[in-house]
Amino acid sequence: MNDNPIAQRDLSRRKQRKRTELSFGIPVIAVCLLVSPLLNGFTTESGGTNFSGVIVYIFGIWGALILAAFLMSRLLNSDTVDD
Amino acid sequence: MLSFNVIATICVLYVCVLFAVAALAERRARQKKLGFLHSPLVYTLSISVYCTAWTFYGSVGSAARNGFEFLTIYLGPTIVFVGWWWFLRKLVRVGRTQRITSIADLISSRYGKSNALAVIVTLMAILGSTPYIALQLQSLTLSFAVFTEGSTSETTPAITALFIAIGLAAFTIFFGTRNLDANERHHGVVTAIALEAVVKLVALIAVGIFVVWGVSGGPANTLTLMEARLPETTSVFTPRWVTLTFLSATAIICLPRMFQVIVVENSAEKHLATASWAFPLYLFLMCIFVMPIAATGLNILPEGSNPDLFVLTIPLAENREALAALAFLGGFSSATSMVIVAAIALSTMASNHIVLPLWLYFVQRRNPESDDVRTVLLRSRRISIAVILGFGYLYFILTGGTTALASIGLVAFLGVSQVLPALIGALFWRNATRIGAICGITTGFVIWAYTSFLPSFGGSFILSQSVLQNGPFGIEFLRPQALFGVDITDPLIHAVFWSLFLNTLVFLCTSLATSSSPLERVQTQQFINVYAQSAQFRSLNEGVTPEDLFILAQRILGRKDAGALFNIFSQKQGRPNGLPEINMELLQTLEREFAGSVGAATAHSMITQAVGNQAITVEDLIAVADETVQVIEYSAQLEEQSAELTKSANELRIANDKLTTLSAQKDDFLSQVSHELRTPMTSIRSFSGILRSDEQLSTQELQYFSGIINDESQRLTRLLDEILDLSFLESGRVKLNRSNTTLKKVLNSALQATQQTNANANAEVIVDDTSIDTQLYTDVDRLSQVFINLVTNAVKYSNKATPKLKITCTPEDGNLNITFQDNGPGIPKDEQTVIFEKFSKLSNATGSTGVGLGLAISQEIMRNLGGALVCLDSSAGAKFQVTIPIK
Repeated sequence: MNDNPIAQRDLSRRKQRKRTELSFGIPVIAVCLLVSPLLNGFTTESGGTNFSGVIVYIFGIWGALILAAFLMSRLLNSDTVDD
Repeated sequence: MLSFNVIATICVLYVCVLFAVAALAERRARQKKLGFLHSPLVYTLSISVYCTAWTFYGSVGSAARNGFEFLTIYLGPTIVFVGWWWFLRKLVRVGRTQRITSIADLISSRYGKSNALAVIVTLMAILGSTPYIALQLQSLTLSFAVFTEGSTSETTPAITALFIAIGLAAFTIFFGTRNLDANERHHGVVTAIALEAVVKLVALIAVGIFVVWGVSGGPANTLTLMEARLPETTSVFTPRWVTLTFLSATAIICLPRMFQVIVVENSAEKHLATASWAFPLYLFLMCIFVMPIAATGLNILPEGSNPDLFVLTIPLAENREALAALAFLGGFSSATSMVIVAAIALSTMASNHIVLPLWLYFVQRRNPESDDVRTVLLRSRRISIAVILGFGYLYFILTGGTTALASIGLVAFLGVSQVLPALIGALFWRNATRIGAICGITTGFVIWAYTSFLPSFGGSFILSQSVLQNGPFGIEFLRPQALFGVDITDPLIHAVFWSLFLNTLVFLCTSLATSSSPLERVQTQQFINVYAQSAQFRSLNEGVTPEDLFILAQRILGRKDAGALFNIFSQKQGRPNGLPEINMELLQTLEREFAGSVGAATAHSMITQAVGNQAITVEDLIAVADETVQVIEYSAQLEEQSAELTKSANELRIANDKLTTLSAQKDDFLSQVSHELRTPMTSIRSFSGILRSDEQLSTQELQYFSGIINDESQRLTRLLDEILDLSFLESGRVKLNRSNTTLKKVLNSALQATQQTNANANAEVIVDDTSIDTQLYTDVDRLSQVFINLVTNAVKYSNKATPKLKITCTPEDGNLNITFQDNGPGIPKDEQTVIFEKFSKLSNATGSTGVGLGLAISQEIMRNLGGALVCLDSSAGAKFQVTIPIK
């Protein structure tokens, strides 16, 4: 264990940086999954759109995003500035 | 069937509840009992003002017409919110530190507090929001019309819309302009909006549950129904899908009402963290039943029914009056909340950026009383609200209330999106300039109006049907919906592409071509580095206690003085113990005291920061900068003085060194003189002693000894004469007998005097007689003495069998240079200056009989005659040059 306060501060900063970088990943993944041709890849079948597939795909990802944002907000909440 | 009167009564009762809730919240806020009002839940629910009647009624209509497309309007905001840390957080932080009151204020503040820019954004926001307000009026009118269908009531849609507009204006004026809160937060309105958000969510979910389980017979059947009834599409991901998602993501940031609830009404940054997942969840819940309702409506309602009203007409068709009433209230809530917040946001912008500057300019140019400004602001806000709703009503009447809800909403979205490039530039791009922002926004705005807003009237307003079809004056190239001959089938994609593309292009190019003003640069720094600044700002922020002020005062004034000052105030306030309460007098005194230590501007900034909950203003910064300049100037003066002192010290050091050298020379001189006097004195004493003691000396011996004594005393006398002479010459007390003569005379006299010596040494003297007749006015004897000295030295120190001396005369610049060049051993370079020192002899000099004063005397003579004697470099022998002024 490192008791050096400077090393600990660096560690906490590194963790904070990782958290913010991770938070950047959520909207990027959201764009990649919801506003890209991937959408058609998962939801198209021969002859047209797989209706229930689209619903499950979009709402499933939407739900997952909400969950990820919820977890992320708990992680990032400590880094916000408030009066 | 619910009658119109019942619905009207429900509406009135509901509005009464809203009034009560808003009033209660206002009262609690005034009493500082914020509690629930200050919770992230209320904040999130207030953001759901995004879901307007367009969502409540229009989504179902859109799903029935276009299938999945309606989802884009909610996916865009979801993406923005889950990525809140990267954009919304910065926006909120800037809003809070800069005390931003609207999106126009933000843009104007960043670009050098430009009022022109604020006016442009305000006008654009009003114009962009007008279709949106009309949309709400239309949906409310349509929903009322459902209940008047078939009845004998003579209420026309226009009259219903008018009543609704008046009612909304009254509510907004009452709660939206009660006070001029410094940070423009409206607790009453926000709480009422939060309540409405709950009502609309509950209503939509209730209708959805009823449709799935009560009408369609369960989720599986509903899914089958959806597949059968909703329009089929070949693919979900299309250019329109991307455009709409992008547009909705932009709208959640740029819509004036969204900016109002997200940024202005934000009271804590952590609320945004909660909203980052709670708001997408709200949207998710709002959307989940849209498609089942659309499919069921298409299934059970007669052909030709308006799909925009399925939420209302399905329960009515199924005779569920209570549910229909709830659905109606949901729609009513959606529409009213949007109109209220939009009217507040727009009226704030209009009054702050248009009315007030004009009023100050025309009415009260000088020193307006603060109460006057307050009255003007409140009055202008109230009028603005009425005017904005009037515009919405006018748009509704002009478009005839026929256009589908969704398309009107998209026109509005695109209008306000024109702020996006300037907004992103404001937060992330240092080189974005005011001119760039003005040009970009104006370009985007004009293209939006031309390609989207004006065509939305369908040829009935400004742009006629023929212009829409064939372009202005028949120029196909400028057709509003196929600009520059680029035929994009979807008018929306066409308008989005051209307006935002040209807007961004003009913004980038103009910003790069222009430079920003000093004020802009200050603001750029404050906006782009907002995180770095707010960290400092927080330490002296809101909620300052007397203890904080005391600590601050101790740091600046010192423990003792701060203690004494605070004691005086405590006693004044009748508090013998403890710290005084913070009041204006204390703050002014503190500021005055601080100013003595840190300068007036810094003191002002410190006090303002400590108690004012605001960032340093530009004026403060400028004043701080002025003081800094003064300090720099003072410091420069000190540096100059310090440099002068150093210079004087160096000069003193040099003078001291010179004195020390001179003192050493004096000592040397005395020691040399003693030595030189001692040698002949010793001889004289010895031989005189012999003469006295020995009486048997022969005449020859007697003559010899007395001869030595005589020679030595003569030498002694000569030495003393020389020393005396040198002393007179050095002090300048020597008397010169100047007369007219020629160089020839002087030189001849010198050569005659040395003739014998030269002959003895077999020396040869050559005189170059070119300028030998030059007239001189000088002391002949003295000059001759110098020449004799030089000739004698040349002969005396020569190591050759036949010493040679060449004397050359050359006139130069009013002087005559006489050079004496011999063929002797020469003088080493390092000894060329030393030889003029008193008693100095060359290190290689042999057979010297002199005492070493000759050259020193000669140099002094020349100095006294206004000339000079120097030793020159020479490759063979010694070379001396005598310079003497020509008469």
